[in-house]
Amino acid sequence: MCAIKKKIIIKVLAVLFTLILVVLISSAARLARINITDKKKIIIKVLAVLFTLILVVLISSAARLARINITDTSTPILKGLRSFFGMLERVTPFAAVREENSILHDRVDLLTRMAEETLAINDENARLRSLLDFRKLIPYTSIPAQVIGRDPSNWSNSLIIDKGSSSGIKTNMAVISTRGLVGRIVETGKISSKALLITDPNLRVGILIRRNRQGGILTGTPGGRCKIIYISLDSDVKPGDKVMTAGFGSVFPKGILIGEIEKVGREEGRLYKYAILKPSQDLSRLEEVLCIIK
Amino acid sequence: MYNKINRVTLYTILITAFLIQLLFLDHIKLAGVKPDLLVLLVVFFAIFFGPGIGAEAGFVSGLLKDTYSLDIFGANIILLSLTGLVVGGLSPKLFKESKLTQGLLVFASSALYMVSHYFVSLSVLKIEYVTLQDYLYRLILPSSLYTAMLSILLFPVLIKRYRLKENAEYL
Repeated sequence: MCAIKKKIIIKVLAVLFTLILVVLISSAARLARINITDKKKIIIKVLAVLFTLILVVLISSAARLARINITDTSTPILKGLRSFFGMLERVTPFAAVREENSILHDRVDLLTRMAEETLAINDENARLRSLLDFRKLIPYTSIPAQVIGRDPSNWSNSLIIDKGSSSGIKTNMAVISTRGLVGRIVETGKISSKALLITDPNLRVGILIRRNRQGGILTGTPGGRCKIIYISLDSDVKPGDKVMTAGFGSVFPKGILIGEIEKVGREEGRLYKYAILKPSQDLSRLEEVLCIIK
Repeated sequence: MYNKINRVTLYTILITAFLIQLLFLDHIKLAGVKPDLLVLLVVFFAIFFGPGIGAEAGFVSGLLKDTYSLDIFGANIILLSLTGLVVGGLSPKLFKESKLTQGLLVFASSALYMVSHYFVSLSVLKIEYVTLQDYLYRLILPSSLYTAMLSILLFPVLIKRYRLKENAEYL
């Protein structure tokens, strides 16, 4: 009863807030008008019209389609930028040698650069090999993809990958890495897709605690951690317990490692425990992922 | 009255900042949060170039954010444009060249923008398990603080680059 009341209050607050936003827009426009020229008045009016247009776009599902098409179009640019910066890292020592203008140093640096390049290639090779081995090891058919961008906002946690519907990626596919679960595909374009990470508050995953087989629901929290809710009160869950997917529903296959429990607690007024989970994979440094087909 | 800026320069700066945010900013995450370069720039343009340019910078930044993120489409456009408009409207009343004012303004704008975002999301999405308090302490305040700290480093560089001066009539 109390929770319902709380929800109603929050909804009312949200509506009030929207109204305040409208009042703020108009008062801000009035405030801005005090010191602006006619030209700027026009700009503000144009912006007001654009605001209205955006509100219309907000409720149209076409926005989503347009969004992924734009991401698709810019995928080659993002991939190019990634390779360009990678190349810059390798070329830097060579440029330093050129400044010294010495043949000997030039040769030394060339060799150094080659050694560094080899090291970088070795690293990449090892990473891809482990991904390949892992791909062979897991009992699912999967599509490997490269991470080409991350969510620009602090609000949602997502990744942009370089594979889309032309490579067989579909929405709701589970995304994993060599260390565990990463998230699920929510938008697909032809040559790029967006995956919602497990640290996003809008993602829900059914989980099992490996040691005691207790279930729960995993959701993201602000700050890049995950929270498990609906753990029964009599559960002996403790920090250090490994957590894996439960395999409920059709999105996430059973038995994929998600992470380790860091803290267990009980929320006031709720009939279940909660746990804070640290993902097994540092999601901010992911470079390659696998999208599970089945 | 306000400083002037070339549109090409404005959009180049915004798109460069956006690409940095998209490609590299996750590598400098602290306590799970990253600074928001776009909010920082919107506040900068609003302070020194007025509400029109502030709102325009907010609109472009919001559009870029909304296009590449999985956020509610339109939320960032509206909120960032509004941020630019309000900060730009307030700027004549402020001593813009004080680093403290700049830092505080970036912190307050970022925090208000994110709190507003929470309420917008609440009215559109179903956020049941994360409260405003969670967002406030784990995301909004740390991220705003990080952005404000970054502004202390970046504002002098941008001011020097564009040779911006406080207009005497506001002093």
